[in-house]
Amino acid sequence: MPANGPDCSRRFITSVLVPDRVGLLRDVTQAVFSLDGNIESIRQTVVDGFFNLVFTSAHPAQVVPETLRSLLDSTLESEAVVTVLDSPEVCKAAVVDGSRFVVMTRGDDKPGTIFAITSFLVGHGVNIEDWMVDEDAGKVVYIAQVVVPEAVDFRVLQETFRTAMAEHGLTALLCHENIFRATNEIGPIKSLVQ
Amino acid sequence: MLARQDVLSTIRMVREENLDVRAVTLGINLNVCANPDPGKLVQAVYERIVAKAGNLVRFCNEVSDKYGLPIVNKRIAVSPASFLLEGHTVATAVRLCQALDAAAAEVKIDLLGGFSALVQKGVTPGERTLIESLPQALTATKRVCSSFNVGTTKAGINVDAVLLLARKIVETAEASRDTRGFGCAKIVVFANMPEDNPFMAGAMLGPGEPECVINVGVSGPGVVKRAVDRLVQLDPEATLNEIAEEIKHTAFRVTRTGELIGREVADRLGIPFGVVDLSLAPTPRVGDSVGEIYQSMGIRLIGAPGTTAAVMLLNDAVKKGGAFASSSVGGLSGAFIPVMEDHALSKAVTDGTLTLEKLEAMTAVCSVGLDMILLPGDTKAETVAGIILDEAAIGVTSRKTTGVRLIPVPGAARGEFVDFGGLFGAGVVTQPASPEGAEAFVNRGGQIPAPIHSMMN
Repeated sequence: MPANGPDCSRRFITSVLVPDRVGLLRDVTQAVFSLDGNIESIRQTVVDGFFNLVFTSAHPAQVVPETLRSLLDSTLESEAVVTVLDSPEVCKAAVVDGSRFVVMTRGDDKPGTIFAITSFLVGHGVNIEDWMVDEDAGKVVYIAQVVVPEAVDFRVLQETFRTAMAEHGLTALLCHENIFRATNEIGPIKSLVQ
Repeated sequence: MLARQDVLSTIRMVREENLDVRAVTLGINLNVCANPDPGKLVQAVYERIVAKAGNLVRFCNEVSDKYGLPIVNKRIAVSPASFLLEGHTVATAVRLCQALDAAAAEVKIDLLGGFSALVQKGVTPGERTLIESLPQALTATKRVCSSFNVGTTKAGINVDAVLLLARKIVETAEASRDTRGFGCAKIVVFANMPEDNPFMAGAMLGPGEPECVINVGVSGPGVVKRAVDRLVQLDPEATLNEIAEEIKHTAFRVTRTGELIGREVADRLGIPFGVVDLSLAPTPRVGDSVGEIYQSMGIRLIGAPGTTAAVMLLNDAVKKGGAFASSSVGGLSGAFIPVMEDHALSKAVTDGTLTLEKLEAMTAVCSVGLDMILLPGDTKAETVAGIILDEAAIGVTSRKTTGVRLIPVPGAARGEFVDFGGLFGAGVVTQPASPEGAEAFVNRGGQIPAPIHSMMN
């Protein structure tokens, strides 16, 4: 969503963590709206009963991060954890360019598994954009959407990932996200290949 | 962001349900190689194939790894070799076949199709030369497949060509006696032959196709079976229209994987992408069978009354799902019923629940025809011709492709078990209820005229 009007010259990134209840998203967005803010991107999920929200918003120059944080603190429950940072675009420069792949591992639920997976990925310059967990026939399945830098040979990465995860008792795969988009979206395939 | 269930369902299709791309087939037009000098002709053919297909296997492997999706076969389909044989001898035809075989080996391709001729309305000298060469050419080579079009809805059926081919099929079986007639597993006789079919043994690059093109054959009978199984498990009272709907959705997803792979391989080769042939092509593996899908629908004994309806439902649902998935669907696109290559069908023939006559009925509503049928070694050419004519009649009158791949097994009698191994599978020798009795009809020759509904203009 584009910023609404020429006066929206400040951008914040905000996170909210609070026990879930009906109406939380309405309350947060009402606070943003009351500060003439425009939400540009947003992601919300619930993990084990905890509402978790991250969004970026654009506001007039006179609005500072503390204004929004105070308003959210007063609006939400006392146990809510709210963080508001200024100028989130500064962070974008740290993210590498590359191709999006999907990582999946499957194995027993035991401590250290996520650490092993993420350590491997970090060690190869792979950025994790999204992380999901599921259960399948008594096994834990971790699924991550990642960005593999162009300079990395994905075939070598695939092989070393399989080998490394096998040492932790995990079956693993790493493949390009387009196979999942192709099988689950209805847009032209040609647009994926291009 | 991708949804968790979408990711998991795709992974399940690949890892547990045998989803694969069955064939990435590179079409190459060879007409530029025509030359009155046999030596120059075969050299030009060899060099052109190696030049055009040199990177095919490498690119396929890269794309396969990228998407985690197996590409089972990388193949080549050339323009009909008969076009190159006008003015040449049978000896040159055999040399040409060997050059095709050598080129396929050089680029690490297991099968190459297009030792073919289109003879639905007449046979030119070059086409006759190619047909005459079959027994020698197909036993002197390993990788070359041969296909023929003997009828179309527009032209009718060339009975003279059918008879000629039937005799050559019998001769080829005898010439390949030491491999139990395997040479015939590389010969398909079609009616309404598609020009962009990527599946062997009937693949060729027909007239009207680009100079080079990638066509893809996707498969996925295991995926469809598991989808039907899941539906029936969730709802044991699922109706046939609900099953059809489930198959349609599954076919959609399978088709799109094929187009993704095909487009990317074509892009890397710098040539156009042609079509996805969405055919449920079985392999002898358990869990990769079209027959098992019928069983999942409720056909306990394949061949029992109702089997033809099950084939029709499956074939239609597959087409509908594929048509929505891609605007580039072509080839055969439907359900194959190659007996030897499908363990459930093969078992049904062995058990006697599925007869040749019932199979023929099923071919009226499937995407191809009588495929990989083992016949007794003493089967006469007229019987082979009669079977081809019956199948061609079904195709010509119903405006669909039908094909016949018959293998008379030298020295074998009805009920004998034959195993070709690999994707060609195994089965027992069968035969028509009345193998003889139509010789006078078949031997009249000539042309069965096009049906009245061929006049569409």
